[in-house]
Amino acid sequence: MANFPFRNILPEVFNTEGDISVLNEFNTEIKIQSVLFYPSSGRDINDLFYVNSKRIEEINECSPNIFIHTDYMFDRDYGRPPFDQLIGYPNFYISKFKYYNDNKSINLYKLKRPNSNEKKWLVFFRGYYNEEILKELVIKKIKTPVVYAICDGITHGMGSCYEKSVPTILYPLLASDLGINFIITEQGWDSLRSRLADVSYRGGEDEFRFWLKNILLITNDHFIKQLLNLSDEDLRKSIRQKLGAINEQRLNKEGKLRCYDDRFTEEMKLKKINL
Amino acid sequence: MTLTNTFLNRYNNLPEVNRYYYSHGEKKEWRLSKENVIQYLKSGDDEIDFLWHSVVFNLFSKTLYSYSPENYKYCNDFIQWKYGHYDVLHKVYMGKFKNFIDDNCRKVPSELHEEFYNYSKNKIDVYCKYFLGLIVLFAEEVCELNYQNLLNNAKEQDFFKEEFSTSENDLSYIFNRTLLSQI
Repeated sequence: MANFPFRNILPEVFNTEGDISVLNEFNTEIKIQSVLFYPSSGRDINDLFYVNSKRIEEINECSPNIFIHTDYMFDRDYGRPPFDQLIGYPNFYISKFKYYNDNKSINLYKLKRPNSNEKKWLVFFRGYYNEEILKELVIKKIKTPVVYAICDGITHGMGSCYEKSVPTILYPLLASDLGINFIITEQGWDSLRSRLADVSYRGGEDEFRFWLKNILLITNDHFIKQLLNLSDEDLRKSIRQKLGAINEQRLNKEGKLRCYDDRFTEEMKLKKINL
Repeated sequence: MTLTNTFLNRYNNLPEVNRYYYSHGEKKEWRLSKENVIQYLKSGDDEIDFLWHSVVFNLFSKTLYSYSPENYKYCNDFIQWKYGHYDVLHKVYMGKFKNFIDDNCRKVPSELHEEFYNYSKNKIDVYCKYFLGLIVLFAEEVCELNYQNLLNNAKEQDFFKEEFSTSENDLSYIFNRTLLSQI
């Protein structure tokens, strides 16, 4: 356990289950493999199949082998099949190790593709806020070149009850700390632009100011601090300028399926972060 | 075109029986009563073709699941994306290929069966091409699927061999022999 990069956020009292060799191997792999981060993943596992350089050639050397999923909802096994069966055959042969207590778990999956030597890792944090994991990634200097952010509950769907939340539309502002090169999302520039144009409030202040303050709980970024010194209007204008410069393209076009989500296939975009 | 929305609509509406659960969740199986089969066979060539396409599509799904599982999700997702039918590969015939083509279709009045048998035998090559066409479709659109590899993987496996009759005059036997001759 000493090498486990997320030991700081293990529950105070926890149980373990599974194959300890999976943990030992993971502790080595996390240092050398490319990582993808999927906040509020729920039961979705599409990234494991579609986010790779064979399907999305643009991500090239950032093609991930380690997929970090997180979801605050601890009990996602309502409905069928249970998560481990969802991910198992015919998709993967799985070996697993997990830490858990009654309301949190960290699940390590070593995944082997059938008829292939291909190996992937899935780390699924259940019962954790996305921001807790983001903070750990920053502290441990674990880079996540690819972020997969589909159906973010804060700005596109249900959720956002957490007062320290950071919506994924603002993750580009974490790019330098997390080493983010690409973001795959259904929320393109159009949705962010309309959000910026439509002034809303959270916690008694402009929602973008509210979120930027939350980013400072994760990172000590100088640019964020500068933004917070601006008026609400200038703050939004600066965000518009900064994030409007991001290059984005539709992933599925000209009748070709490159990346799949049964809710948002047509809207999925690849953002290249070059801030 | 190998797959059409019309076919998938009709396939999805075949009467279902849910018998048990397996590793990927609830198993969705279809079956047809003797009366249903008679109705199809009486309704002309297009309906016989539909029955064949259905049982061949079912065979494709089972073969993919067992012998090229790494492509199963890609094919299922592609169908959902292109045709709007969710998880359609999970729906398979409740028995073996031979149980439907040879046994079930033999239970109908002998004259009707004879017509079905003769019509089907003449079109076996077309039905085999339908199976191969499914593989080609998915290979072109969404995954690395090769019919020679797939059938070579499958043909010596008991689970696949049991799909077909060993009696030379049975349609499932003729289908299997014709299919494997394409490798």
